[in-house]
Amino acid sequence: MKKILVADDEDILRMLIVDTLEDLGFEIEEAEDGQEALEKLEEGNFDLAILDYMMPEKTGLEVIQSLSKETKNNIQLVMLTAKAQEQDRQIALNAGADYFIAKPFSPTELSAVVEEILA
Amino acid sequence: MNEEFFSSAANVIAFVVIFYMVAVGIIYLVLFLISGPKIKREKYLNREATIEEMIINHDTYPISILVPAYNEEMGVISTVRSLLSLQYPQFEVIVVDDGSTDQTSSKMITQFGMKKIDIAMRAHFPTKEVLDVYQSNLFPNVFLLKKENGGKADALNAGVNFSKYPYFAAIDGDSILERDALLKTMKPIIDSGGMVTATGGSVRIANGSTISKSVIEKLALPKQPVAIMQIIEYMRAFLIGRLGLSRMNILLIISGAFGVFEKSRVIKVGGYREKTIGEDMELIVRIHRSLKDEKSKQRIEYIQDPVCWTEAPSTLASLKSQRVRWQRGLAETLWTHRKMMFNPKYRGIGLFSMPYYLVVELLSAVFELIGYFVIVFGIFFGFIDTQVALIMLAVTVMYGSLISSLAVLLEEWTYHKYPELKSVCILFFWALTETFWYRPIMVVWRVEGLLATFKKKADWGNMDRKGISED
Amino acid sequence: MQWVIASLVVLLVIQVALFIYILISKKITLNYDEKVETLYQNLLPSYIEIVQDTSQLEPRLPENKKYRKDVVEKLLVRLSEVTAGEGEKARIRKLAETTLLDAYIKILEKGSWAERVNTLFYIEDFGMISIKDHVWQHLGRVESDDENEEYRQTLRVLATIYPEKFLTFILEKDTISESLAKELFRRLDEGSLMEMEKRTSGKTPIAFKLAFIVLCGEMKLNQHLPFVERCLFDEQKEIRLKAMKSICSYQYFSKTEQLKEFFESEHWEERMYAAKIAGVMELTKYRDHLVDTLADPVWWVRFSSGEAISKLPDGEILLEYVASQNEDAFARDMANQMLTTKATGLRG
Repeated sequence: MKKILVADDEDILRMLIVDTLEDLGFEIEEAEDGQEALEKLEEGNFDLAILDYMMPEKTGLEVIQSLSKETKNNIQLVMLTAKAQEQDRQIALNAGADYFIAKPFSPTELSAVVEEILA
Repeated sequence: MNEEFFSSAANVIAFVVIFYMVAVGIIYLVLFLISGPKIKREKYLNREATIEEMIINHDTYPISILVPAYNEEMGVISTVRSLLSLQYPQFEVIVVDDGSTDQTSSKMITQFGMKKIDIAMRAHFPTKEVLDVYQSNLFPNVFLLKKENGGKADALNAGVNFSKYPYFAAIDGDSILERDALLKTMKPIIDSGGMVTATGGSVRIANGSTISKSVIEKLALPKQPVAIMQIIEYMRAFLIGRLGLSRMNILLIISGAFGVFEKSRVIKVGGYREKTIGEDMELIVRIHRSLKDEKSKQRIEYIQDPVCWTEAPSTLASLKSQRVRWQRGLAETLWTHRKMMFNPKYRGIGLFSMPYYLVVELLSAVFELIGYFVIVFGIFFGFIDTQVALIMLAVTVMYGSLISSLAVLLEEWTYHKYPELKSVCILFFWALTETFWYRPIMVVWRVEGLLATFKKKADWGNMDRKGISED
Repeated sequence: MQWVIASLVVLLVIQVALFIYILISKKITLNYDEKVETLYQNLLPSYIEIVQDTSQLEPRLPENKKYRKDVVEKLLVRLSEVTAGEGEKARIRKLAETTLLDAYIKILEKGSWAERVNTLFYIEDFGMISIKDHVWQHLGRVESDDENEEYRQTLRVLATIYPEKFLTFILEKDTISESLAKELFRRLDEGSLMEMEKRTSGKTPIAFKLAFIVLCGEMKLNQHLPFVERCLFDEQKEIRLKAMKSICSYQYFSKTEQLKEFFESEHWEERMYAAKIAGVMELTKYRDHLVDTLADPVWWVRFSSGEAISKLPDGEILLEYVASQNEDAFARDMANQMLTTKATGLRG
């Protein structure tokens, strides 16, 4: 089973994402801030991480930058950004994110993107 | 004979001071009555909803954020990082290293992977030479200007020269903006279709609270009484004073800690003035002046939302230097623009706010100092009627604490209030003690500041730029 | 003497009263917020399920009307902030219409200013169509001042849920700011926008026209492109400029050969937009024109020309050539700047 980490400080977003992805049959772990996300990513063998751009402790961007090369090579990174922050998106992609999803998001779209990435 | 003369002179002075304090108290009450209803009306307004639209609106003008930095190697990186987390469709951050002697520039360059670029700069104003311009590889909207030392105003002018957007925000190196600060401050400008030419928001004191990456994680009062007193002072100054003046469109200060300006207007009036201490206030006065001179309908607006947090000086020495500086800045600005004073051509600015700043903000220190002398000497040496001295004491206490408690009330109507019941008690308690220790100290320093203005110490160029300027 | 003491006592009493008032009202607010927060946390999981359509079971809501309204509102606001799917939106709307409708009608009639404004925002967020007649009536009660948030929001809501009435109302108005007009038109559906285009005539206030022209580009509404292209040759400069701005956002127009005259315009704004359009559309045939405008007396024209050249396929080489060979110092400086600066402008 593919393993996914969902890192977001807002519980409602985490709950929504987890709800959506669990139905698709993925194994999911959660992190509430950037530091926790980083630690979990380095330990567990995740296939995909969904990171919020803005998180306490470490932003999504900082998490990507602090990942070890090995982890980075073996994982797909999806960044959640606010709808209008076009600048953020570009920066996230430059820094090594593979995809981004704009908030607010549609659960159907999210499942489609995740399934495509992990197919 | 002699004694009698002293005694009656002292009594006259005492009455003058009492009259002054009552008058000032009434002015504050009037300002409270002007600002109170607006705050009350918007008490339950959901502010996030009102700025949502701006994020997707193409009319939300892009902004250049100017960060003048002189020997700020300690703070500059975190300031820029927190600016990068601001919610705003499009902005650039321009750090102006004003000839720092420390590692300000090299820290920026390594942290943000900056590389040198060539720039065809427009010179709206002459400034000290800009040596190099850098752009970050990681964040293409972060720039660094390295220039020869010329003071804060010069650095800001260089930043304006370089900036490419129609509006700019000037912030102090040590202030922290809330994530939606730019949206909230730009809102009046956009809603009015450009009729608002400059805006500023409330500045709050961060001491005691935990703020990280532009998000307030925990709101709490600081432990040191000096810091608590400054919090009360800020509430009073912003929620009563500035909001009241702003509603009459005669606000004279946009805080140097954070303000947004229409670039073309600032260029028109000639930019920041060098060799002045309160360059932020001086600029606003000049803008008002030019608006009135050309009979423009544009205005300057203040929003009551706290958008900017700043670390208040917590040691007496730094507090003293801040207050002396403010006082000097205020005195200089008023002197520079003395022609506007009582000049009916400038309407409310000339007839009310200039005199208000002169009499209430600048000279209150003198009146209060006399007041304290009268109280002490009157009671101990019997120069004046004990009763008069007591009235004066009571008026002083009331003058301070009643206004303060009204400010606390207004603060309770805004959001971001302290979340504990206890904090109200603490604020009220310290507000009551103000007259007995905090005010006398301030009064003495502010009088020192006044005296310093006359002496004009020759240290403009490289003045102590620590702390926040003009609130 | 006595009156002095008396007035001091009065002041003291006022202050004590103030203190007690603040303390009590703060306590009440804190308790209330805490209760709503607890309810919110308890109800959130089941609301997420309903909105995701994994369960139809409606949870038990609190009996107290105020609590019920506040907690459901909070749940739906948060949910509508994070979800964008059509199905989710429809379910949020249904939930709002079943639980909040009565409360909202009452607030529109009797609530305080802040309550009304908030409610109008939520009505739009939840897309509560069934309340549209009440909002329409509400418009008659609101002070029609462009800077009054309540008026603005009432119009926004109407544009979203009641476009027919909105159009009739707005086309009869003669003053409204351009930026507000844009905000409002952005909400209109395709049919109403077409109606809008048809109904613009010589009598339409210019702010409306300008807003509409720019908006068409921002939203890349292809069916209105011919209209915008016609505006390029309007006799009013303002309209021409907005049409050029709009074309920049479309990144397309059909008569590129006509761009030439704008490069030679006496108005610098037209020269600037001509350069911008040549850039976004990568019109290599205008490279010589762009090199000319790189030496324009106006900085903005030079800047836009530089940006435009750097967007051309062989732009970098051209810039290097200009930077080293051009006789105009302005042009060389600008070319140098373009060569070393990374583009930051994401929108024109």
